[in-house]
Amino acid sequence: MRNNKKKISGVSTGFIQSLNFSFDGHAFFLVCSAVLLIFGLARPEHTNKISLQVVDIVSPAMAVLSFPVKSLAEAVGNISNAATIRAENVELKLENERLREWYQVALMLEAENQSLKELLSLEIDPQRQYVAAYVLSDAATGFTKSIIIASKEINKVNIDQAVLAGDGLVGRIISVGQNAARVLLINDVHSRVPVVIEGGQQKAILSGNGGAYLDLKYLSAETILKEGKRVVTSGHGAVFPKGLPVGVLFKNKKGMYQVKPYTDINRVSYVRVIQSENNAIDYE
Amino acid sequence: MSDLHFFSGWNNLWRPGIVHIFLFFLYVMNLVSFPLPFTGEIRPYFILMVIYYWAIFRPGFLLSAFVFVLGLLYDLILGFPIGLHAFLFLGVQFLIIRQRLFLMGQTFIMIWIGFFFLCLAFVSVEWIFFSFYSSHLLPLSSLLGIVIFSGVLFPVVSFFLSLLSKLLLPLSGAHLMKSK
Repeated sequence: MRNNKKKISGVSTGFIQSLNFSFDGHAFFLVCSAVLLIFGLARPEHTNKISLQVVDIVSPAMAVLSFPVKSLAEAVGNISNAATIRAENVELKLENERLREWYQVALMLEAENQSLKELLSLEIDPQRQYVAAYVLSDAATGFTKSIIIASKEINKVNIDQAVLAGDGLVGRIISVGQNAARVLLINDVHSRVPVVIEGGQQKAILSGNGGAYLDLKYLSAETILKEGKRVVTSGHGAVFPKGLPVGVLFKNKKGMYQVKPYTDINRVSYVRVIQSENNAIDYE
Repeated sequence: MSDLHFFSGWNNLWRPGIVHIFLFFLYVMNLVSFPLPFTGEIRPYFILMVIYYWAIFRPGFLLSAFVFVLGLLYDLILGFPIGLHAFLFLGVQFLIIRQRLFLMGQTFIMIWIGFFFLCLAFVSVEWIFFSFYSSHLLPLSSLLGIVIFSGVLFPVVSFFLSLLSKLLLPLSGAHLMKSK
């Protein structure tokens, strides 16, 4: 037994010696990294602060340096999109015609809706204020989905404000610094958005899964879903204002209903951060 | 004589300077995604290519302290758990330096295949970590894209790195060729 122990300790010592950790201080920095990792997992609030301070410091330099790289990436994207441009153009023309008709209908309905609300003495929703920002660093990877945004008016941006891009919701602010803010995208696995499916006003929680499409959770058993239905924020939980467009329902290959976001979340360059309005319903 | 000293001093500065500028460029490239069709979110591992290449051919050039800082900044900027990539990058550098004599004796194709496997292992470790971290099985599709895209780009990056390696030849003193 003793011999075995000696043998085991002998083998392990030999193994460690064979690794020759003295090379270039690897062991020291590996231990430092491991300690930092454990500390970061135990106290994420501290490391998040440090992370944002670093982003604040490097963000002006990153804005300048990432410009040529981003341009190159966009050029690659444009080339890869060139093949589908003709078909897309035809489709867009048809859509444009349809939308012009709908625009006139929408104007009439808006006026009618406003006058009816006035008749009923309902509080009319205030106009939304936005802070425009550009995407500084695309921090969305295969594992985490977040972006860093920068704006001259970043001091007006606060935690939990909704972020829109193009036609729909893309995420919410999770941390704000002096020069930049971090946005958690709606397809991150930690993202939860209370939504309603238009038509039947069915409520659900929209959950990110790291992929391009979003999952619907906590739907009631009697919910009847239909492809093409719009999904908008419900305003529950006092984070997202109600009525923000998120995406449309569709049936995936497995026959499950998912939500396709209105905005291509992987290719966001500019965003709008919603200000002031607080239409959200707070149950606390 | 003093002029000669001046030029050798200048040589000692600009040659590693260019190499570091290229490294910095690749580092910035790692902060930007590439919008390619059917791939969704793709971020090739340029830093991994650099660490792999220098660990084989110039093990003393990228100091472990430098790799540690690179990894730390990577985590801080991209919002990963701090220390994760510092640990992974250092681990990769350490393991490749252990195997460099074997890898140096291989053809480029074998080194390339080696990088594919390294990339696959790296992404797998990340996937396991983040799946535990988020208590959610993350999709594998985009990860395969990252491995393939990184592997395909490796010959291009290694071509530039080999050019830069030649730039460092006059400086190939003991501090650059330091290995076991």
